[in-house]
Amino acid sequence: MHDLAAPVTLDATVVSRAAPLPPAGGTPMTVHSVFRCALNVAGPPGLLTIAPSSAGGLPNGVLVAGPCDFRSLGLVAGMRVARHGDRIQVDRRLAIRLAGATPWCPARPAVPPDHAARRWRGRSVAVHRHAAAARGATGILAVPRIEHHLADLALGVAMADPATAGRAAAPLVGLGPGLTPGGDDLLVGCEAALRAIDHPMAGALAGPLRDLEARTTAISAALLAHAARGEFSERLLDLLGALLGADDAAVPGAIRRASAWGASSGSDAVVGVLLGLDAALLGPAGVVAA
Amino acid sequence: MPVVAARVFPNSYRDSVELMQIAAEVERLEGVERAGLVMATPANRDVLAAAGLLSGPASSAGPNDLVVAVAAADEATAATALDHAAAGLEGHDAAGSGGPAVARGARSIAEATVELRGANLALISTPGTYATAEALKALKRGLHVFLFSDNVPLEDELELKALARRRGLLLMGPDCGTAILDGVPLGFANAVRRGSVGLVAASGTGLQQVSCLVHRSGAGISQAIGVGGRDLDERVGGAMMLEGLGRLAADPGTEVIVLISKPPSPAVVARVLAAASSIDTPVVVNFLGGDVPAIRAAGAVPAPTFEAAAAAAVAIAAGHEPADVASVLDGPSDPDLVARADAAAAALGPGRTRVRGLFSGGSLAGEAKLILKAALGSAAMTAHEVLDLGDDEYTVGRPHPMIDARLRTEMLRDALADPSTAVVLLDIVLGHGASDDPAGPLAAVLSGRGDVAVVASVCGTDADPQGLVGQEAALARAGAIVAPSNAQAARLAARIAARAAGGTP
Repeated sequence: MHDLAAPVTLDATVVSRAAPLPPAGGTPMTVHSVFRCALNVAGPPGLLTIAPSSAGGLPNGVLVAGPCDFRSLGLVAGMRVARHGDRIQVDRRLAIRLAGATPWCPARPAVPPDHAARRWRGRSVAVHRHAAAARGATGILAVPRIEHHLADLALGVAMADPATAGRAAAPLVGLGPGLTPGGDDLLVGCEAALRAIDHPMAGALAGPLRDLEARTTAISAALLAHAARGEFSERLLDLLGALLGADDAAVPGAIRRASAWGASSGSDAVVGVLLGLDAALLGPAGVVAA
Repeated sequence: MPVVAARVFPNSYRDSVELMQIAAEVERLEGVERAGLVMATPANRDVLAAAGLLSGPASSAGPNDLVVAVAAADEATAATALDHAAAGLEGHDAAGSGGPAVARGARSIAEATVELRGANLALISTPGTYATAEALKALKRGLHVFLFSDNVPLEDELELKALARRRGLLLMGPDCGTAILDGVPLGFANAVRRGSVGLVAASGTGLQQVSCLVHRSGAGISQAIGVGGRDLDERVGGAMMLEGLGRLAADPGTEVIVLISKPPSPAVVARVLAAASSIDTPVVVNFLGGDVPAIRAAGAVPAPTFEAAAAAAVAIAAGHEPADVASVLDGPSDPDLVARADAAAAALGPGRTRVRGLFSGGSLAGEAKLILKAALGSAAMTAHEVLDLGDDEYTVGRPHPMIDARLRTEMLRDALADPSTAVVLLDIVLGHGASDDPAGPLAAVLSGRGDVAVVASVCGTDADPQGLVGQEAALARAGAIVAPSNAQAARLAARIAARAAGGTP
């Protein structure tokens, strides 16, 4: 256990270009929630997540060096978080030095759709098998009758019909167990897939969602808002790079890593990625049931 | 009516695994019917409402609040359940900052073989991605393998079975649900007495049904070898069914062999029958939809159902000549059960014509479909529905229905509420690995529903942990017609459906 009387200073290693940092000299933010491997900070700019480097890039994130148990620092919800120069100060207990951190872009160029379609046609079935093997017993697929929502969503994407897809996406918001409800994770994954191939439906799922703060948890609402702007975690971007890339051997590992995020968030996002790619690249007849 | 109660934990965040673990713990408390722990987003509040769990403070909780909701027999039980959940949440907090020490066991097959010298079998139940590597390690160490894992690619199965055959070992699986070796049950196996009937099965619940019916006839099982559902696929070639057949033929404790499979590849059937015809031990063959003349030509006894297979095997084990039992048919239906079925058919309301089969066993569902099709005709089958709820389609992200009845009870409620349902057909599978009370949740849904016929069979024995008699009694008390076998249950369901449609089989 860390000595709570002593302030801790951590060096940031990576800062997302889209991270909502506390404005220097502006209104302070507050601690929203504290986990062993993540510290969430909320305020007018948005919801900022501070996590160890091992988490990989987060669209709303600052990554810090070394292993760190944020719970052991005595941080609690409501504590003041302010920016002083190149430092983020959390109460008097934690300081994060931003100088020297690498800026990271939570978006990547799209793969040309014809390349993506060719690769996905040859890989889809095997990828589903790997994803099923990596999936745990919890998550969005355990929600009763979820298959109807997913079928509607796939149909809307396959037909490139924003109205149908939007109607299917709306009830998924805030649906399912967990800190970031599985329906949200799935929508983020699906949006990431559509962005990765520059599909005409990119932005059509998360973009039109309104009143997110009233419909899902604050953390999920923040990630959906980033997704609507085409900003995703490094794990999801790496997964899509592998799924649509030239190297077959990279696929199983990328799926395992993406699925392992959180308790079920990773595997729910993978469900969304696969649904998006199937619907967008294989069309209505080729959608593989998740 | 159950009491519904809820407690709200504002601005509280937990991951889904923690929440589902605590929900499962709470649901195990006596008197608790259901429990839900979710973030109170509008979508999740709708789910709670649909489950009858939205009440009191949960109705006004917000998306950043954690809601614990329970339905219990009375207020005191509900309060205890909420306290238990709260303690669970605190416990998980405590575990998160340190956690209890866990005794270290063997962490590899190599370590396990050192710790347990003389072991000759490895049971592997890792995710499919890792299962092949572990199975290869076990085979290379001279161990038979019971491969419970699914999602193992076919190419890996071919490699594993080729290696097993070269080394004279059994590779049972992948996706092998059950076996009984030297009296030791593996996976989902029933408690049966030892005897002289040997089984080799590419069908998990088929093996269970035959072994239970053999036990209930007073005979017993020498060995029951599961080989995995794909073993009789043309590409696998029946590798382990042939290996198992050879082993049982050489086993002095086995007097009759029963081969069981879902519909197999014709080319593989020919190979298996050729092997069966070359051994001295009598062989009974139950391949669902199998070629009866070909089986007879191989000198084996064809059995169209699991019940017939068990009856034929018991007769042969008792000393009857195989030729004398070649015409063994399924046991005659109990006249009392037939009368109850006819009464249930007569009580059906207008428009109730459909059979709704909700099965936890894939092979039992397959057998029921064949029997219904034979009784009602192929054309009529399009109106009926027999679902294997243990299929991947239904088990993604949730436990198998033999372990967790929730999906089946929900679907049972839907089937009972459907005005076109004439008869619901159910299997209840007992044994090691199955839930403590498989019939209980189903019986709770059935109670008081006299307007729909319900026919069930229990695959189990008096020695199973759940107890056959108590499980059958629970279903009977809830109004179900309880048949002694899956085949008889399917025939009774077909009889009711035929009468509901205006025919008399």
